[in-house]
Amino acid sequence: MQIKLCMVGAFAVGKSSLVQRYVQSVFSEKYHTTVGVKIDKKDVTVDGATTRMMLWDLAGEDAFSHLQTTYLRGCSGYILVADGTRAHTLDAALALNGRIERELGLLPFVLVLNKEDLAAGWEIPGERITALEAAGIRVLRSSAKNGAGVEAIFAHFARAPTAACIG
Amino acid sequence: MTPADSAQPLGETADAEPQGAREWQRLRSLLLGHERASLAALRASVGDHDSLARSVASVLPAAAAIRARQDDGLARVLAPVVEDSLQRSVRENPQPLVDALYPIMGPAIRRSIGETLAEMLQAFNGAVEQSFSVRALRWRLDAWRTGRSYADVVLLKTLVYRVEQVFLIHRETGLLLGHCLANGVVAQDPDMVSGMLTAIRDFIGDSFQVSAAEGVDAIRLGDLTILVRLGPRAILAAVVRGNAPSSLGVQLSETLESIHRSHAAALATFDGDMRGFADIDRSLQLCLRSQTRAPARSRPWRAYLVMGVVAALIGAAALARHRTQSDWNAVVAELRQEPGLTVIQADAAGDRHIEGLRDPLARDPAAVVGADRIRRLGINWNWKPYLSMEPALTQRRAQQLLAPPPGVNLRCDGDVLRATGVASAAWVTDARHRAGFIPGVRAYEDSGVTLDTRTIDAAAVYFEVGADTLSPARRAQLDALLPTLTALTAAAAELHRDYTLEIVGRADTPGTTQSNLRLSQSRAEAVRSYLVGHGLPAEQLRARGVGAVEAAAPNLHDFTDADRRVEFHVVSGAAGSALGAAP
Repeated sequence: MQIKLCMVGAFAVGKSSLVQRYVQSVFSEKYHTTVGVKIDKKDVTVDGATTRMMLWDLAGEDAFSHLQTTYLRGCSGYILVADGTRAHTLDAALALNGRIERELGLLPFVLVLNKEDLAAGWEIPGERITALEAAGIRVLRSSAKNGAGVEAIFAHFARAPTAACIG
Repeated sequence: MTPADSAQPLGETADAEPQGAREWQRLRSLLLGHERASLAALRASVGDHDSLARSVASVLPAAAAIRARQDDGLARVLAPVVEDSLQRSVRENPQPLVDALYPIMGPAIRRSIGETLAEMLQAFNGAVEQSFSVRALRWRLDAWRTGRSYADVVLLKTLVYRVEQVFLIHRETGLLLGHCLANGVVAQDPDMVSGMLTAIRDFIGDSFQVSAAEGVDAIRLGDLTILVRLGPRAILAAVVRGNAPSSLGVQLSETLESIHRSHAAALATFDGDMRGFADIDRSLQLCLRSQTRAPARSRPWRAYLVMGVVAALIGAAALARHRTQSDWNAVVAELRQEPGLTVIQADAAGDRHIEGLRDPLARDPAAVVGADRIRRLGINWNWKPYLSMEPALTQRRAQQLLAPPPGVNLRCDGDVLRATGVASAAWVTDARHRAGFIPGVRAYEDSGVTLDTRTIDAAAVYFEVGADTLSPARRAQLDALLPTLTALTAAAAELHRDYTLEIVGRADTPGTTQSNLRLSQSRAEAVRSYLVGHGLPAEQLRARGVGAVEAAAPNLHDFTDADRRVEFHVVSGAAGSALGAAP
């Protein structure tokens, strides 16, 4: 079994760091700035069944670069990444999500709030997360720095990509 | 009762049945009479084995055709049956199958063998070409310099193009459906490359407003080209090094089309499940083509040449060997034929060695064979001395032992030694004694030898005018002749030859014939008396005076002192011929 997963989010939210330590990678970071996407691979085994995930790590969107939704075509789901220490990245992620849903329809996705290790600088209030979860969005917390919650993100798609939360 | 009632087959009786049931039966008969009859007929036909078989047989082909169109259920069911039948057929009587397959198998096998041989020759030619040219030497240098294998360098230099990798990619997700790799090519993770390739296509399409239907069909970088063919559901990408021919693009398109046909369902419903594409690599393998610079169908001249040279060398070696062998055989034959040489053993294995016997009088074997052949064939030999009884050797031995004077010829006929010619009486006598001691000579035959009487015939005794007595000088002259005459006598006695010594007296012309005759007669008598007095047999000496009549001088007045003489003639027996008759 193999699936295509995309990672999207604002610039510098730690998408690449998130995958860097946990996946198999042959291409360098410069593909982000040139082609706008870098492809990595991760095999996840859950209950004896191995799922090969082709991770399309899309370049972060900022004032200078615009997310190319073409890259999301055919994916089984996507990982929406935001930086928990910068509230505006969550806004940007949600805005991106809106655009994806408009252009590609509803796809399984999870919202990952990264940099959990920096709890002191946390900007996103708990009520907002509760509100998002209440709206049906699956919110996960992770730290690319210490690895907390990272495997859970991929395991989520490996177990039941089609049953993932649809926002 | 109606006629329908009587026709119905169930045959229930009115007495045994209650009234209600009877009524019910009547109603059935009335309503279904006709149908009941045809139902009964149908039941009978189904129950009857033969008619059922006929019915099924009429629809069987059509039914099989319909089912085959629907799914492969029929094939699945029949497969084991067909296998069983084939196995049974082969086991019980293979001939019909052999007959059926022969026309196909024969040509196929021949073709396969032919192609294999052609490939071998081509490969051999390639190897020869690579090994013997200056270019190959340069490439070997390159290989040594760059640390790559020679095969790598050759491939790189002679390659026109080579398909290194083929990717079959699901068009929508960019997920890899199949991948194959040429031998010896090192590649990155194909899953990730597949994704990246899709991303780059998307990137180019987005960046340069290329419609999705067109897409990118080639990406080129240096001598590397990625040929991309777009299908409705999948993308075929081939990584080619070198200059790909247009036929490769066509082949990629055809392969992609055939994959779309054969895997239509799996492609349409692809959700990441790879099971539908397990056999896809076989189709992709066909795209791993390559072409080298060597002309594909050139005649393998170099191979022919090398083979020719090898054949010529082998031929020359065989010829040399044959020549050496026949030389050796000739040498042995010549030695065997040479009188006085006997070859006991001729060994050609390893060093050529001869063991033999040699008569001391035989020719030197080295002279028979010749120094050149001895050196060339590397012959060594060992001769032991022996005495040969061959006529040639016996003759040689006789020649050495008898030392015949010039004018005498010795010849061996088998074990008989024959002497012919003119010899002195002394030699003839001596030879008779010696011949008996010559090994190999059983008999000595000298009837062909004439005794030499020239000394006697040339001798003359001269007298004074009118004298018939022997002066002391004349006696001394006769004394000198005596041994010769004695030897002649002895030889004649020995050889049992009859001879007479004629002593002829002469006179010069002055004087009467009568007186001259008398004078000449008394001169001959004087000589005879002297010889008889010195031991010669009187019966073999005959004195005769011839006067002046037989003088050689043409003119009677032109006489000399030489006319007053006595001369000798040796005559054989009474016939007076030369001494030489057989005893």
